[in-house]
Amino acid sequence: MKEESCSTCPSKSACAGGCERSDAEMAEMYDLDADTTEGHMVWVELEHGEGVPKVSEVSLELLSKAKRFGDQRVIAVAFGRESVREIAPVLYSHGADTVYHVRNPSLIDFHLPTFAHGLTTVVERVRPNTLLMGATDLGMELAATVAWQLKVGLTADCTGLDIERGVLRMTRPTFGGNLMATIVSEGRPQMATVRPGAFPVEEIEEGRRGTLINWPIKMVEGTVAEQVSDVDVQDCASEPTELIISVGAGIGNLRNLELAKEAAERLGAELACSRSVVEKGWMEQTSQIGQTGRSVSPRVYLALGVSGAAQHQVGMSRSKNIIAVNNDPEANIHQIANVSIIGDVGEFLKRLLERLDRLDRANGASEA
Amino acid sequence: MRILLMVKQVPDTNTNLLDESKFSRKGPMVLNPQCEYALDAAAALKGDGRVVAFTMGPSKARHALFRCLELGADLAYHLCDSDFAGSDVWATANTLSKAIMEFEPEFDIILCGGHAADAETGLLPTMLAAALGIPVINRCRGIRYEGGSLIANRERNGIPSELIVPSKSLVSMIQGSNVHRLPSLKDLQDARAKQIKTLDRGSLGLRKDECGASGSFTKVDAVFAADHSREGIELVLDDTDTALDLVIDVFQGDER
Ligand SMILES: Cc1cc2nc3c(=O)[nH]c(=O)nc-3n(C[C@H](O)[C@H](O)[C@H](O)COP(=O)(O)OP(=O)(O)OC[C@H]3O[C@@H](n4cnc5c(N)ncnc54)[C@H](O)[C@@H]3O)c2cc1C
Ligand SMILES: Nc1ncnc2c1ncn2[C@@H]1O[C@H](COP(=O)(O)O)[C@@H](O)[C@H]1O
Repeated sequence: MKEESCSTCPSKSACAGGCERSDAEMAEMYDLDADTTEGHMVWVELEHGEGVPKVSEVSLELLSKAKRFGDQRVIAVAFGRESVREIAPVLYSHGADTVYHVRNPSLIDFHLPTFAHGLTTVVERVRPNTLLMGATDLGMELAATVAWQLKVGLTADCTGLDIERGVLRMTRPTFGGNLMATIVSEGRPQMATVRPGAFPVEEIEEGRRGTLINWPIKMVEGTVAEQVSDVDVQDCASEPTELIISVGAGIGNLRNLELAKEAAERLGAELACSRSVVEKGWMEQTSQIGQTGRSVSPRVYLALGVSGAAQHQVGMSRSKNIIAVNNDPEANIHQIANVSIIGDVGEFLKRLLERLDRLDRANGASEA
Repeated sequence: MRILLMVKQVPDTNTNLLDESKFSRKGPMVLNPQCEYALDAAAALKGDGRVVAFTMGPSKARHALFRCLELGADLAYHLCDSDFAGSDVWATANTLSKAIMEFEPEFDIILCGGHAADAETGLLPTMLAAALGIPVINRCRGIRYEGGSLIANRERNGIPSELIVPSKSLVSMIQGSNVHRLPSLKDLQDARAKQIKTLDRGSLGLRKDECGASGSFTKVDAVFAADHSREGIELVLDDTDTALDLVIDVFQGDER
């Protein structure tokens, strides 16, 4: 590392000042050993159940994205026992050229100290240019620990990634989703966690081949919290919610809330809410969507009487279809909705339930 | 229980945050909402032990510490130095870990918020635990004593579980009780007698390139306003049939 530091940019390498630099110049400025790093590495998150583990969707998205960078080989790193070998073809078909199988007979559940050690050793061996993982609960913990150990930068929760001459430009929402920031990282690998769903899976090439490398490791001693019990696991291990009906203060009264509940039941949707509704004591905090609640990205998000405050949007703006019912045409929620219905929520619900009744009767009649 | 509490002051996200394409910290500031949960948990667990709050931030970040002292903390450290400006998560973890090792190495638990409402990386708790070499439990919705052990309710991958918190570990909270607790008159009076110690780079024995912007590996290159807006169809409810057909179609999987 060079001693000099520039006062206008955080680079540790000497820089000539006047930091208006192009990406290519930045590659030079930020990267102390660019010529010796090569490849895009993806940590593959697996869901271990009975039999062959399942590759998480976000890992496939990242392999696909890394392949589309198009400039360097793609390396997948998967942890687990023997059965992990069987998923290698899936990884190749999504873009991996090389699969590192990090293995140990006792390696089943996520064990942070061992995973961090294992991934760090592969990185030190391969020296990739980038290291990507899903911004999932496990991905975040692993990324933070590995970045600390490797002494490299880490950008969390990215929704945009671009690479130019080896420099990764990472774009992420910040300040409760109000702002976007583009971040570059000094040193290698350039690490990012990426939001699930940010990139599509494209160009699956069945039968594509690659190289599998065995990477045995020792379990690392290190305390982790011991589990006392699973609380109501059955209730929660369910599939992610595909359909959500969310009520805001505009729902107006408990009678309308009952109608919303009924509509949710009949459409097979989960009922959620804004913070205002929690503050009124009408629904539990566990149902709150937004910055201080849950983040969701269902196929359909029907917002009833929700104004669409920034803190609410940050939890739902990634929904595939957003339908908003709000009697104020100027409400923010209409800006982010694919379908905006300007009207009264109570009226809407009444008519929706009538319509569902009619459909049921029609179906009943045709089945009879 | 000797509890260390890591808190952050953040801009109120209700206000305008973009000022000539830069983050603006000129508007009103509040204690990070998820740090409120950690503060609440610290007060509830304290017993006859003590709570020590830490923050790294500019001089007005003291206000976040005042709130902690009013609501249960006994002592606070303010890590404040212009050399700390521009810290990314690595530099923040490095600086906070130095302060803890130097000034409060004897603790039973460290409590953090899960996410900060401004930079929102949610990485600091794990990285701080890595820096201190201690276990971490993230995504806690509650923490309590039971049968002589400390039990945390964690929700990870959507699955809740109860965990025994090992001694000397770090716990970050994504939920809790009472976000807007008001201090009583007595709390306010008591707080006045409590101390905030200011620590600068020199007192932590950090070199200039180990903290702040020059100790950071990431650099913000551009900031711009988020735009979530979509092309959409607008209907009035008077056109009931079209509106309801559309809604039911979308629910039943007819993409648009
Ligand atoms: C630090 C912080 C964190 C926060 N976190 C969250 C969070 O996680 N989640 C969250 O949701 N909020 C959060 N908030 C609060 C947020 O700023 C808003 O206050 C809240 O989302 C507003 O809820 P709402 O849309 O239900 O209510 P309102 O803003 O009151 O909106 C009600 C809407 O209903 C419409 N309406 C009224 N009557 C009718 C009718 N009869 N028919 C149709 N439409 C009608 C109105 O036009 C209006 O648009 C947070 C705030 C802060 C400061
Ligand atoms: N500058 C700081 N000083 C003290 N604690 C911090 C600081 N930054 C982050 N934290 C703690 O780390 C949590 C998560 O922050 P972040 O990783 O930035 O989203 C916060 O809720 C705080 O508990």
